[in-house]
Amino acid sequence: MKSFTPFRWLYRMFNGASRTLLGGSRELTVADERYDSPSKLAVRRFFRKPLATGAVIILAGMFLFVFIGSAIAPADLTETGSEMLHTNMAPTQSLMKLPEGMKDGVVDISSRGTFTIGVDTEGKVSMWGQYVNISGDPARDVMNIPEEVKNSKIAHVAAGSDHCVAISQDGHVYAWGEYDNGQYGLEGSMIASARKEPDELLNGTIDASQVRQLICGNQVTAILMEDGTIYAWGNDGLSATNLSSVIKHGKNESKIVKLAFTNDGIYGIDENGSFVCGKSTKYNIISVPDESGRAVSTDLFEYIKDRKVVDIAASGNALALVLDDGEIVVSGMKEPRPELPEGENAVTVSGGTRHFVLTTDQGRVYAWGQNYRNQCNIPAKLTEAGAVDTVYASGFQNYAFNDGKFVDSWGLKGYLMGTDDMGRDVFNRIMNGGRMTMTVGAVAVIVSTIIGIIIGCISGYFGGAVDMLLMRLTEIVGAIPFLPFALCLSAIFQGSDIHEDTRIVIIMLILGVLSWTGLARLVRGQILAEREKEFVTAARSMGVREKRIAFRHILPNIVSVILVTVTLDFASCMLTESSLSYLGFGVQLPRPTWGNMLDGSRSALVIQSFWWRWVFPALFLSIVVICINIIGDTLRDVLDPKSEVEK
Amino acid sequence: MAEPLLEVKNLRTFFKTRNGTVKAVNDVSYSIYPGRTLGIVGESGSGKSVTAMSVLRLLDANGYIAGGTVTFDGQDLAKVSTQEMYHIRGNRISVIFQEPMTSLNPVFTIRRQLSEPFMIHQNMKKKEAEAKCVEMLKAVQIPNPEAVARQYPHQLSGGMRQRVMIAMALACKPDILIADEPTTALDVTIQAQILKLMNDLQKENGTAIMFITHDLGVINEMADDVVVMYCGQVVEQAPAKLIFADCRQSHPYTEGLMFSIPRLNDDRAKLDPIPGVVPHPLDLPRGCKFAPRCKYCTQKCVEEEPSLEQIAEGQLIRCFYPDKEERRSDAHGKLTVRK
Repeated sequence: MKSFTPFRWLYRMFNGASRTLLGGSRELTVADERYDSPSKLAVRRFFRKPLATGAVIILAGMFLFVFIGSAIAPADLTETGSEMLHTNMAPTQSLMKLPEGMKDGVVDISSRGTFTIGVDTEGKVSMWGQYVNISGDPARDVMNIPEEVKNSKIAHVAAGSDHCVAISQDGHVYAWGEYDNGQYGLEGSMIASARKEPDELLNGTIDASQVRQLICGNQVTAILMEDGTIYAWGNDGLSATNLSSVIKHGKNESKIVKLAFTNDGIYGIDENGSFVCGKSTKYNIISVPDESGRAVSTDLFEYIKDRKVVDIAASGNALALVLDDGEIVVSGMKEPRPELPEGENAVTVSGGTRHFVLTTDQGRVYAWGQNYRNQCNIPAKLTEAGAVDTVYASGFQNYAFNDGKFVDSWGLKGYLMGTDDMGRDVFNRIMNGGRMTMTVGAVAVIVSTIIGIIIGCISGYFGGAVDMLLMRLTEIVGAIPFLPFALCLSAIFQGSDIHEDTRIVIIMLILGVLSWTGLARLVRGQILAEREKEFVTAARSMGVREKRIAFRHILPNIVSVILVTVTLDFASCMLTESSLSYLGFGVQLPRPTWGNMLDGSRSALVIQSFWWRWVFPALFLSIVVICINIIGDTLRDVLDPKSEVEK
Repeated sequence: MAEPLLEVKNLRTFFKTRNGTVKAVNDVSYSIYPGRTLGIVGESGSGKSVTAMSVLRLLDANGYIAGGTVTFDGQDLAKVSTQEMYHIRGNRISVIFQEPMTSLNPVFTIRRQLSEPFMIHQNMKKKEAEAKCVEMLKAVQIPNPEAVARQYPHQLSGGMRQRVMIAMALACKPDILIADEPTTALDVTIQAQILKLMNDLQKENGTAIMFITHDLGVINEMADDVVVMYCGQVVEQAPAKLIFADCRQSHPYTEGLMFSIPRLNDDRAKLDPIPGVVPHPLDLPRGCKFAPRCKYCTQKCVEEEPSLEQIAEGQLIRCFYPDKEERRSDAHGKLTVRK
């Protein structure tokens, strides 16, 4: 009596299923069925239907995918989960696909967002990755390399977030991609230049051999010449103030020898080895461990004192400075930088968008920073001494070279199902959203089943006034218009400052509490039919108590009917949750559910251009619901005693 | 004779229906003695089953005990609490039902159902109860009891199921076993086996049996005392020997029942059935309830209702003319309405 019935049932189901699936060659006859338990028989009949078997397999796969997947890769609801540089990306795995021609030697590789540009030793430019060209205008498509660039030998390249700049060996400067914010330096949006007038640049020729550094920020570009001249142009909204102050510094105070763009500013080092930050004070406070290992905040300049800065690298929101004594000072990044072993010194530091990579004098690679997109998962073979001499950390990818030959790459390959408008991985959200949708559906169904069974049982078994009362209650609850009611409740809870988890529990309860009426009526009807059967009288004559008869003797007889309804209810609860979330009243963003993933797809733009944002959640939701419905229908067929034994 | 185990006195069980009150059992009295079998005979609707169900208070929702006492073990079962009733049902008084096909719960194994009485009445652990239930199956002569225990009711034949029912009823060694037409749904050979089994078990345990049937042949086999019921009343009560021995006095209904039994040594060409049907319970005749069907019916029978009179030692008859010879003679002033 104490053995838990669902487990036994599952055990039997498993047994029956495996026997049916594995021992498929054995002919089953009607005679066989006579000697099987009803449940085993039902399972056997169930798995003889290919459609239902397929549905079970697909659904089981979905469950495993959603629950195991979300356990392995939980949704990151913090800022790392959404990457604004990766919004609305199409499904791809090609972001890190270094072209074959570049594997024998590169001059530079550059990336800030989704696409990467590289130039090889022969001066040939290649681009890989993806650019979401919303306008559809090929002139704005940054992946569309201009013919001139293709036909000339290129010396320097740099990629912004939506434009690219290249300088050919004969001194021409080319820019392509988006231009609305002055990425090409046109229409007077050139910001400033140090020591030389920009006309020279606008004419399109500079001395390429004198270019020290070509560097792009999000929508800005800067060229640093050997003599300290800085040409810069681009979006003066993002980093203009800082940019012009740095340029002014270079013009009036000391020669700048290296520049680095963060997402919102430009920083450099000058010939004296001091850090140039212009007007920005964002990175002036750093956190360093004191003697006891506790992190304390100090002023960057005080910390450096009279040491010299020999190298600078920037990621999107952090700066790394290499000092002349080999120390690396990092500002703006909370992830700790790796401690180098004794005697090993950093040679170069380069910054990706959210991470830094350093190579050491022993040819090892270390990476730190955000690892949400695998930027810091260095392949094992690269951590051995002498494996690498150069690493191009660009954007979210890293390409390691040794002696000019490509060794390996690591980082973000792409998004299997693309990203949404907040740059969140759709694949990850499908898994986590599926878990949420299924959990909400399951809990709602469990709640409604418990209420439905209890009310139906009591109503059906005891009858009379109790029945009257409970059935009227059922009618009242059944008469509540579901969607408006759920919307109202959810709106009420939205206003108050309830924790999101509590809100989700409330949604589950609302769904459950509003959807038990059908089941209660069904159970009541079945019980009315069953309680007239002889075995009930027999049980009563055995001295079995009323409650036990209702729940332990009659209820098991109608489990099959309940099972079918519950299965179908599960599907409809999932759909209801999705509708609520789609309307924006269910689970709130950034928590994913299949419903609120569809919510982001209400605009025509999304429907037309970003198909992956609605196709995948819709596909998963429909597959699961269809599978559950097929299973429910088949259950109804096989559990119906009147359904004939098949040939 | 020893003290009666169960004494039913002037029991009246009525059912409220939309069309009026049905007096299903009206003023019925009988006693059951330890180790003896009381047979209750009657046609369908004569109130035999309701009598038994009244004893256990298992009436439908619209039925109620309107009067009389059911004394069992010194207490009146008509008045004890529901809680106490749970301890009596299945423990001290248990029932076997007519339909072995439907009296077992189709979704549970035999073991699960058979172990239930042990668990609820004797507070046994599941393991013990299951061991006990194999023992019980052995006792009711089920071959291969371990295997049968694991089977479901639909996998057993009718006779097997009835054996299981008997095993369940006898599980707690009840004082009284009410057998409500236990063999009606079985074929004749199985019937004989089941009856023998019940007899054997009775001898073994000393259980008193209340055996309800419409089959006089079965009563002959089983009963020590017989109660014949008609329209909710006892029309005759006598030791079985007396009824089946061709005694001098009997109720015309009993006589009619006897004539309806086919006999091997009988030279009648046809059986002699009782004409007509049992009257509708809401439209009972004013006088003797059997009068409309009685071939000896007189004007007196139609107008007055006879009472249950002691005719001889242990024999009670509800008839104005209990003497067979007398009522068959031409002097008997029977109404000639009917052939």
